[in-house]
Amino acid sequence: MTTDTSLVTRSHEENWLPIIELAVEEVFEMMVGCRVKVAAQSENKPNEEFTAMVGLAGALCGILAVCCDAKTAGEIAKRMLGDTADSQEQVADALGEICNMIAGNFKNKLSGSGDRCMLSVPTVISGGEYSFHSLADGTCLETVLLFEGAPIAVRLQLES
Amino acid sequence: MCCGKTMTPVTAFAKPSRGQNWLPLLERATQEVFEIMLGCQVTRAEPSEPKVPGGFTAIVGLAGALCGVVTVCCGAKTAGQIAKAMLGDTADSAGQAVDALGEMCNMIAGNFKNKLTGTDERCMLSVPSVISGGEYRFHSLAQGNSMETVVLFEDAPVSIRLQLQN
Repeated sequence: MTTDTSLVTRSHEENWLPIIELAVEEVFEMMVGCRVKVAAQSENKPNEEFTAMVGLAGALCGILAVCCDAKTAGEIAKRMLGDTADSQEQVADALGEICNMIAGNFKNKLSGSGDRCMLSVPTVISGGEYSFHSLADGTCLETVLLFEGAPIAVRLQLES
Repeated sequence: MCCGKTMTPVTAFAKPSRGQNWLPLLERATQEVFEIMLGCQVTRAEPSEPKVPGGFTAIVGLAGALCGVVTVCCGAKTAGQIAKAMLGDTADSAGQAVDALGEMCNMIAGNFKNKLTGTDERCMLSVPSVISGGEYRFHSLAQGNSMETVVLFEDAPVSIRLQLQN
């Protein structure tokens, strides 16, 4: 995975969206074996039946979340774990691991943050009727990428 | 808000092997936060108490020396009562219930880690998140020790769980 950027300080965090997108693209290519491409957010909102999240603590405090529908989450699990990966737990494990790797890859691209920012354990929420709220009150960056034509939202919410 | 109580700082568990004997610390951290933030004493529920309905789940991540998550889970009505006890009787919106439960979870996690001698400065918390809804599953990828305590707040169960990574 490519490393380093010129974005060192929090004052540039509004410019981090391309770094998140690069981190997502690299993780999908390596872990899922396919290329994802950035899509227009307004036209491609995923049905958020699965939300994987990882907490960031230390130099950066916030969360990184990956959201998609159940079919897409299942497809990611099969690509990562094989065609027999069809249980709810395997799907949650796969999406949680993708989220964890995106967060780790993203923070490693921020010069000087890699060793001062730590990740918590991933957690995954699934279901047909839930709302997800973060108490982070700072910058929120979101991108939507297409995986086999299906939208996946990746969101970074930071504490101010 | 504060009623003169303080959170007790140190415990006898200087270097516990991961997760061992930490349930009493989690229980004490929970009781202290309810007493200071909501002005009420909570009692530990018996194992036979009914399971907590999954209306609201607040999550705080732990990173560093301890890696895992702390969750606080209760029904929607209980989350609303916690918000009113914390913010006043006018706190009746779903957003205020979310904020109040997230803050409770954050304080319980912070109080718990402060009780672990030598861990405090090497363990950090992420921002709280809260899930609400009628139908959802919560799955943590933590593979280590897991411990849970259930307390009664206004006769309704509130579950506090610590899940650690190996």
